[in-house]
Amino acid sequence: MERNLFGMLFTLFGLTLWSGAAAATSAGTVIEVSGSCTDDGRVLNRGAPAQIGDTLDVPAGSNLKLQMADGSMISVASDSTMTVTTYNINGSGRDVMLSLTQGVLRVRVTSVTVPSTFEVSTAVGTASVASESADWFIRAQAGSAQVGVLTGIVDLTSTTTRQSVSIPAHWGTRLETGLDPVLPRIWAHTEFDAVIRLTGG
Amino acid sequence: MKNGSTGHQNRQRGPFHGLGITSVLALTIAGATSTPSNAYTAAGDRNFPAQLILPQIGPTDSLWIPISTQPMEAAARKEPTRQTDFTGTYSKLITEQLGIQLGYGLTQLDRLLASPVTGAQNFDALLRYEAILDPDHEFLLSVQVGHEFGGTGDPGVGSDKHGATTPGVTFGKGLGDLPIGYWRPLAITGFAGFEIGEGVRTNLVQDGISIQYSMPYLVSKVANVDMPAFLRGMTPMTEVFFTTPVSHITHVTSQSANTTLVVAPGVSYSRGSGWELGIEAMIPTTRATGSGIGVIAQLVVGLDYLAPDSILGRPLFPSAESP
Repeated sequence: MERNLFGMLFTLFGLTLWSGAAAATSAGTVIEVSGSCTDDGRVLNRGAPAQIGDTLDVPAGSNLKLQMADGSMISVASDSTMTVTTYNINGSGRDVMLSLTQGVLRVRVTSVTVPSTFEVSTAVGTASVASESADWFIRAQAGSAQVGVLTGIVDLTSTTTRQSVSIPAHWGTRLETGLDPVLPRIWAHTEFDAVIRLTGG
Repeated sequence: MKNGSTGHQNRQRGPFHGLGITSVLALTIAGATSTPSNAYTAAGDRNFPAQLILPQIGPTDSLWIPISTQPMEAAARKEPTRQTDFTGTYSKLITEQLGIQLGYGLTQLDRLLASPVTGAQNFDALLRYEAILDPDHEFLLSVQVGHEFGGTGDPGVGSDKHGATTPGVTFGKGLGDLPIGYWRPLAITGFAGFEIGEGVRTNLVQDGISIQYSMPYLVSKVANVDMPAFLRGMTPMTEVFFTTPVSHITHVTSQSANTTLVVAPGVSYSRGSGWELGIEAMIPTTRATGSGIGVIAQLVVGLDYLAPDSILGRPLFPSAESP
């Protein structure tokens, strides 16, 4: 009887640990998908989870939209590959790192009441949200990255030179391999419209 | 004062009664050079820095505050030995391509054997339209028309009681699209205008050009050059501004004697963070321009960068909003 009780308690404890670990690795959920988007090779459907460490592949002609655990929204344009490197949100803070190998993301970052780091890295540099919330785009291409900000402030830092620029709302800039970021400038609405079309709004 | 040949009443009164026509022109050009310049005007990846002598090359939402001082040649008592200008100019976008600019300021004149005088400059306004923007070729061109409202300033410091209207064209061209290696950070800007004076005020042809080498462009578009952070924001540039009268001038030795030509070498500093600082020497190359090397310094505040969501930093009538 005593052995059975210990066994049950051990099983319950194990289940608790497992479910906690599962919850901790869940970064978000697919809320819109078109075309044959995959998550580490598995076809993604609406409602599918995106886990920390997963690599999401959105082929040409497809689109994907994720609702993240903190309420942020990420739209992935066609012909894009993104990895959820880190997505932790708890009482002590938010720590997010996405890796964009290629393609375009629209990232709508919600404000949180805890300290927050929200970054998207590319081969040439890292973009980091510097305001409480932000609505912005990042495009990764061979040898360059481009950032446009609709609302909020985003910093773009060169991987090679460590020089950075701050990009306010309605502004954008680009970064090329091994160089400093170009000084930001105001983006025309046509430039925003072009990336909005790519990410499906 | 009276122009002895035509009998026309000149723009100057007060302590400059009797001032030579060359001094009048020098004051005019000194006033012109202290006005507007450019902030955060970009064509593609080319950011043209604010200019200190030439008019700006595109409409913006910004505020700039130049201060300049220029020695002058005084031949008689009460004639100015130095002119110092404090000017504020506010530039506001009406649409993404059309902007208005309002300028006002103070002038102080140090005088020979007399106490200095300080007074207001004439109020001026300008409408500018960016007609061509070619990001791939780092080229932009604007057309503009400016008006100086005569009689709104203090005649005691040379503010004309007659106004003037100046249609003009400005352009900027970066050389980054050319296969010229380390010369790609070079850019050229230019201005051509014709000041049409009201009443007896002299008409003037105005031309200017600047050559600039952008370190920010060098380190972001050409090569990773190892240099201190503050140098990465520098843009050495030289501006040249030229005016010559084309009418109303008589009783002077020759029109060429009244031509002004200022060469202004200097540097602008910006790291793309909403403000910009520039300083240039003003080297007069004709007698009518001045008698010694002057200095102009300018602070530019980019309202479109620092207050991007406010009415100060956005066009009054923006294009259809993006979602």
